Amino acid sequence: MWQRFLSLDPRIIYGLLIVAILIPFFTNMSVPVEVMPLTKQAFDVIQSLPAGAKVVISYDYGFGTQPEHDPILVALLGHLARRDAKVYAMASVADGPMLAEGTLRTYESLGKKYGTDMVNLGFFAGGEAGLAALCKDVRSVYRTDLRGTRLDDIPMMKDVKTISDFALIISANSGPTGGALVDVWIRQTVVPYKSKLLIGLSAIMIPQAMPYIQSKQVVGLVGGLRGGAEYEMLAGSPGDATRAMGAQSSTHFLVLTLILLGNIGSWITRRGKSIERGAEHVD
Amino acid sequence: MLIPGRVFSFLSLLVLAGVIFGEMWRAKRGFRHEIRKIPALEGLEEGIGRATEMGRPIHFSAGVTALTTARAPDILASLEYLSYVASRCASMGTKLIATVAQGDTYAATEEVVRSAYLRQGAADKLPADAVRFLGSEQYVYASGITGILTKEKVATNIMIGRWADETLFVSEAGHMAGCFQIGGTNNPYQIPFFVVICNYVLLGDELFAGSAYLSQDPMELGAVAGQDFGKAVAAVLIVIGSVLAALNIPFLANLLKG
Amino acid sequence: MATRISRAVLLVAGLGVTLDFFLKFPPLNTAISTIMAWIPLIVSFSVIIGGINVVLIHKDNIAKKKREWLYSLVLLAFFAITLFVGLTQGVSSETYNVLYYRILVVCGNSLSGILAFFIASSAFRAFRANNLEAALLLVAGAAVMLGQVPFGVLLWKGFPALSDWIMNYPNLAAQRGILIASGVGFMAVSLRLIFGYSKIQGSSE
Repeated sequence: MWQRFLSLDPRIIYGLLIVAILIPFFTNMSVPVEVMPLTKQAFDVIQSLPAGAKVVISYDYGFGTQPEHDPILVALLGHLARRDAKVYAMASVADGPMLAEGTLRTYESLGKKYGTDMVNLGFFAGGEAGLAALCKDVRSVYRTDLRGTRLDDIPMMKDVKTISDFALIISANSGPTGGALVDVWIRQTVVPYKSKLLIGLSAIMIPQAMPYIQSKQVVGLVGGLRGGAEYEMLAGSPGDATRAMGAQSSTHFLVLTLILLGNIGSWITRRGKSIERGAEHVD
Repeated sequence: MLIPGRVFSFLSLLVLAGVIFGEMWRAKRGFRHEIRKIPALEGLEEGIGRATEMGRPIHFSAGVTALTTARAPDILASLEYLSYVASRCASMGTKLIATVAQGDTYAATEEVVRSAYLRQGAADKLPADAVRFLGSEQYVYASGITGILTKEKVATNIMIGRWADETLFVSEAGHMAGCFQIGGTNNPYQIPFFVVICNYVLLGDELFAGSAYLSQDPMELGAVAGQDFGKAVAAVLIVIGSVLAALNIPFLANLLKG
Repeated sequence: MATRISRAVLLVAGLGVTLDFFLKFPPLNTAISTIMAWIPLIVSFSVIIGGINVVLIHKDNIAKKKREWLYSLVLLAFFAITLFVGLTQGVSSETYNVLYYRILVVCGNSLSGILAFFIASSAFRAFRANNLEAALLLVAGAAVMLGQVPFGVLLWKGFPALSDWIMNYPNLAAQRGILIASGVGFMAVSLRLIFGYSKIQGSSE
């Protein structure tokens, strides 16, 4: 029996996974979310921003990780709106500007106006080199925003010359190929300009970012859908990330159960084989 | 003239560069650096042999990253492996399929494969579709590879280079297609997927060391020896720094910040 | 001759950018700033070239009726439609948003969603505690997973703290080790590239 279980058709596992994901959505299952210190740290960073602070949000992720990053950014934007921050959206990947347009609608829906409270500068090419050039002189990389308006005609761009003019940089990062990774932002903004960097990462990248948190090169981290749910909780506005926690919990439970059963089956099978071999020896 | 806060970094760079070039100079003068055999390189031989015996192709891929990014060294190291694999395929008559995601990598990959076949005197045996451009978007590229692994019944799937989210996609598809798999990347958060699924893995820095081992180029071997010096110094500094930090002596921390 | 010129340019640019990071020397800093400002322009052209490349390759597939040429036709059709809509109506238009959010983003999300299934099947197959190291890996992985989800807290209140400890101590140490080793390796390859010692460039002198 265990042999058959161990060579289970992957499609059965896929079917179980689909059920595990769908049940929480249809039953409106809610699970308690405990806020972790890292997310609280990120929340405090934004909470401490003065009114009118200039904040860069860099969309360094593609549409593959959009379901993970968008809830994080929507939660952050909600908080930034309450702090009356001015949001400057840019992107180191080609998909970024359109993803920015999507999330900036949230900012607009909170009463913010394009051109005075938010601007979408668009894509900057060149990855690290492009970022280095941008840090030295924003206008060396951007002449207009995504909608074609000259930067000098945008009120909130008046006092913006270099990266030092921003109070905070937020990089929503999925480790994009050709884009600006977390270590790139640290090398080009934190080290030379002592900028404050907050990162919104895919869950898979959290372990890799821990050295930067501990060395205080990154001031805050919101990680994965769980981080997004925690931030929504802190901000008092549950959204997509909180709704997904039920499904995330059930799928984790399923995967762990399968791993446990797989190990039990593997152990029983190995034990059975060694008993058989022992019996053959005796014969 | 030196910017405060970067003095130690600059001096470290000079010292490390000096050691690396020194070892390369020694290598050029005939000194032989020995690198321990990396298990994944044995796996490479095993994979090539398996594909040859089965009469099925080998697939090689370096990942989605372009040569014009800061991760170019990873791709260049990968091309060393491709050069070796292409040479072996040319000499053993095994079909090679090399897939690329970027235009600049396409040109370099074609050149490497063609040169390898020429060196073996098998330029006429190089298939016209040995190098295939699949598309620069991550999942498009991964889907393309999945199709090739299944439809062309690839025996050995080699994924060595700079890999990102497409790692699990491709390696799991390779497993389902029954491929023997060798993976290698310098990307820390993709290494676990290779470890779990592939038969052999090159971990992080082994990517660079392995390419030197394969090419047996004295200059490359010298560079690897120089790198080892850098890692040894880092390890010593970590130990000393930990002890000093425990004793509340900030000398080393202040020195590193200077 | 061409190789020599390109290697000379690589040497000057590589050394210049490196020294610019460490030295405060206005003529150098200004020159490098100018060069750095050119890079986004050059890379932007490579994006255009990439697009042209895609068109040429798939046009060739269709003309010669190569394997799966129908997919190439679909690709070129969508390429043309998206380009036309983007240029005529702009990227903020309703039509462009439909093409982007209702087709491209949905397809991209679906593809990346498949990863969840692959993770589940590979975890079931491969996470076996066959030896001590594998058992430690399994326990650590399970602890971190349970610490990340609200369900874990319901099982045992200590999972989040245990997960935090694993992330902040063993994981951090390992990540630092990998970062340092990779960084040194990266530096060595970059130095070889800058000074023209890479075989792939054409010589190792």
